[in-house]
Amino acid sequence: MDFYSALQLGVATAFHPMNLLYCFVGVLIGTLIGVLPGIGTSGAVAILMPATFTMSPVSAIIMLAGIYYGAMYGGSTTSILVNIPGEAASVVTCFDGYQMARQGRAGRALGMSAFGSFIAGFFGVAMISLLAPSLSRLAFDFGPPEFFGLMVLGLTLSTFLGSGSMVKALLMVALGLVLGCVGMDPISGTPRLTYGIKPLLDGFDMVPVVMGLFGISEVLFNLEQEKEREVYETKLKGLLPNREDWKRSWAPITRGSFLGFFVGVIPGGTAVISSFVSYAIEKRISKRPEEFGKGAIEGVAGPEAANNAATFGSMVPLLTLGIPSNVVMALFLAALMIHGTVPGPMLIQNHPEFFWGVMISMIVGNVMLLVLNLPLIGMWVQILKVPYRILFPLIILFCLIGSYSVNYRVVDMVVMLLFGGVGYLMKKYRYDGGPLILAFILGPLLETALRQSLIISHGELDIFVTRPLALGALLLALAFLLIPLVPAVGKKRETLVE
Amino acid sequence: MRKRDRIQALLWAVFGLYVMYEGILLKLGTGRAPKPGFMIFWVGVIIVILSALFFLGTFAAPEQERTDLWRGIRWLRGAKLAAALALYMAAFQPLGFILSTFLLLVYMFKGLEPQSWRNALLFSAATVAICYLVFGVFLELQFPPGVLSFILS
Repeated sequence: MDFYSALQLGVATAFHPMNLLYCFVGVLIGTLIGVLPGIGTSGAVAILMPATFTMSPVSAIIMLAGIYYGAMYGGSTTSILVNIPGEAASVVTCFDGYQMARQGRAGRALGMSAFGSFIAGFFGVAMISLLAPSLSRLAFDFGPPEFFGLMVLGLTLSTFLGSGSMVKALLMVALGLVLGCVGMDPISGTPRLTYGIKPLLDGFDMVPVVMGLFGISEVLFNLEQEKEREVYETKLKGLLPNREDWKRSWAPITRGSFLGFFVGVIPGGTAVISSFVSYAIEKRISKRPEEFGKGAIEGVAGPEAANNAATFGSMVPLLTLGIPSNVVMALFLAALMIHGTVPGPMLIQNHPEFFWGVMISMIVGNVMLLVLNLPLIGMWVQILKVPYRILFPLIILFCLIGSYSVNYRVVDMVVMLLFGGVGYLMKKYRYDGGPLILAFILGPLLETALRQSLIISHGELDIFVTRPLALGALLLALAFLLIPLVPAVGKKRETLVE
Repeated sequence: MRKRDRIQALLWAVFGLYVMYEGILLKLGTGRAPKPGFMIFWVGVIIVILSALFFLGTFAAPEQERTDLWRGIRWLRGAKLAAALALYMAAFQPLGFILSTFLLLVYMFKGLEPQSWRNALLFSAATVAICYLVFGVFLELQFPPGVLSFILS
């Protein structure tokens, strides 16, 4: 199919009235989730995924994608007005955004954040549309060793870039791999680690595990704290950035868009990481580095562009290789499998209406977000003032509904509660949940790739050495494991993580 | 802090050895024909190695001020919520979605936080009604009717 026919198909799909509605609902919910600290994008996507079961695959992904990039927009609002990131990827926006609010420049911070995210989103969609078809064709040459190498690289990168001690992060990866083994062996069908419990024959379902680890644990942890959010009371005048703001921000937005997209493409690279790296770069190359942390608009524009671009970049490995690069993409993978659409090299060829429809829809969604975020900021501010004692029962309820509705089993709610307890203890003892979930999801795929590789090579490990891409990925993974041992780099990583 | 980390390291080592044991029970196979226990066993080995590194790392790390993770915070509220959720799950099928959820919400709005009875009952009723309409009716998710089956079915 030529490019113009594909675009036409995409436009027709995206502009179908129901798909426009789902896109709008997705970005609205996503912005709301991003504005409200507590639930996070992963939790929101996990909770709302069962609601998409009655939709078509295209509509389901349009809505879930809207939630994903909508949350990036919304997260900056609380960062700027409350100094609490509504979304992990908006942590960096607190540094300068809140200071801008204190100086009476909240409107311009919010405006630049929205415009930066919009430009980056547009860039991200364009890049996916250009890269994904070519990468899909390349992926036909990938075999089990290449997939194994890429997944190992992704897991290693997630520990390198994650928070906390690297040994603890690797332990989380190992635990995730063990949890992924619970259930029937994918090749022989032998029950593993099920202890005769019938519901465990299918393994742990991803949705209750994610909701427990990220949703329930967050509520349990927040309940024991005394803090109340303080919304900075300021008149929101002048949401449009002025000429001076644009002069200072256009380059950070451009750099952030490129950086964020390519960080997002790498399995294990996240929007959080891209925003931190963008901030570090902008501070480093700025002619006025002393202004960073005191209200420099570059400190808002660059990271916000980076985190939004990363959300689009992260879709590339999923759509072209079938490898989820982060927790949210893993949930997308689950949603696609439930709808009978298998992501991977054949997706664009077999389902061009799906791929191009989602691409065009993401452009539409970005326009909707720009329109929603600026005029509705007053409404988001009011929502921010809703006390946590009203919010947390709603979060718990949505988690319960979400976990039950996956398979209509109470046992999934029990799993969610158990993992909620595990997640709570992980927070107390400072273990990062991200590597665990990524390993839990990639584990079965990784094991299958490993065993297939060994079968192909008759048990010889040199198959991972003689295939250049597999070797390259594994060497990179080894480098990321060893680099923190270099004192200067190890210290820098710890500082960044703190 | 160091003592806490060393206990964690030891617990991880025990867990790793257990995982290796489970892998052996499931059979490792050979490189040519790996069996179901292959991956589990080697992940167990990795856990044991990492726990050893974790343990050794406690000797190299500088001693940090000991912080009590449980003092001065209201951890009992989380425990009460967890207990309430466990009861909710036990009552979910017999009582049904509407009634069990209403009772849970009343507890969360009133029992864990200081709110008036009027507010707690009002918020709970409104929330259950909206959720049932959105998820049960509009999105057609199948909730158990429980004791209200004579009305809902």
